[in-house]
Amino acid sequence: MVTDVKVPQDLWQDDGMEAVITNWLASDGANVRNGALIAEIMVEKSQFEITAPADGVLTIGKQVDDIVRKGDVIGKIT
Amino acid sequence: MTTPAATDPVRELALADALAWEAARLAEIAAGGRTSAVLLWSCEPALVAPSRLSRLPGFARACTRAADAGWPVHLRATGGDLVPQGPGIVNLTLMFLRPQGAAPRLEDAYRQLTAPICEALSDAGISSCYGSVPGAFCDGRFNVTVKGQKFAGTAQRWRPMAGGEAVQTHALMLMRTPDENTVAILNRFYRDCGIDQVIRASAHVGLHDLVQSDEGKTSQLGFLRTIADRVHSWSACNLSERGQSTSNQSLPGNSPV
Repeated sequence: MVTDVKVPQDLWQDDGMEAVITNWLASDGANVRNGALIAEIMVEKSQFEITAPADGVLTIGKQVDDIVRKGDVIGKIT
Repeated sequence: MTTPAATDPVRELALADALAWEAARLAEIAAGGRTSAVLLWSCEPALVAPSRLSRLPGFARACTRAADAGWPVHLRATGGDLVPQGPGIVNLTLMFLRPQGAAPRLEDAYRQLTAPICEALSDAGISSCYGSVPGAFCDGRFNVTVKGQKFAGTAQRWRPMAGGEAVQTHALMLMRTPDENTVAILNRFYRDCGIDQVIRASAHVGLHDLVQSDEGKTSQLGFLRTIADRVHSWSACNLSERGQSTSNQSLPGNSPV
């Protein structure tokens, strides 16, 4: 089973606002646990922690400094 | 006029202690142990950088040179950019639990944080608004500005938790306009990190430059007491709605916000 790692939909209102991935705290291919902090994104000087939505192996889809929007998939867990 | 320490709404802290207090309270909220926390604080001269800057190749050299000049560098958890700290600056940290899907979102959280600041300015006869200020340090759309100059900068950190998020919001308020020496330190730090960015002192304004010079200290105390009253009311309201809250707990001394 594959679980998407997504930028949450409800953290900010402006649909046009872009965030940047500032940090991956787990490596590509690493085993991660549900709820573990794996990435950080920043928008409007606000740092949002992204946690693993499932147990499994992380595949990073977007790199540090990539631009993302609400709902974007930034990685997968299998 | 000498103000008794017990009535001073601002807690003087070592910067490391203030950052540790913020980290501990955010963790407690995320663990479900608290629903809010508030701190009005000031610290020694230092630079505070978001952790992402620490990955830059010139960061170590920039830190060494800043420390040698009397500005040790600390990392912080919230977003944003490099900022100075010191006696001319007062910080407001406001933290809360945000239930999943409920207000406030990022924009509302900034308004909630800055409302007491704007109200205190208004009480002092100073009108303010939000906006970016080119040339200001740690510039952002949710700066509190007065006549086009930056008076307060803001930042946040959001941590997912069961049923919602733990939210840390932070405002840095200028009691005194940054001097040229402070700005030179910031600009040298950027150059050492290889960042093409120039800060200008004229992009900022401190409270003392917004009020009559002979009323500066009195105005500052009144301004900060107004903010303390507002956030205390907010905290009490949060307490009655959601349960446990805290102001300035786990710190030395006994003068809560």
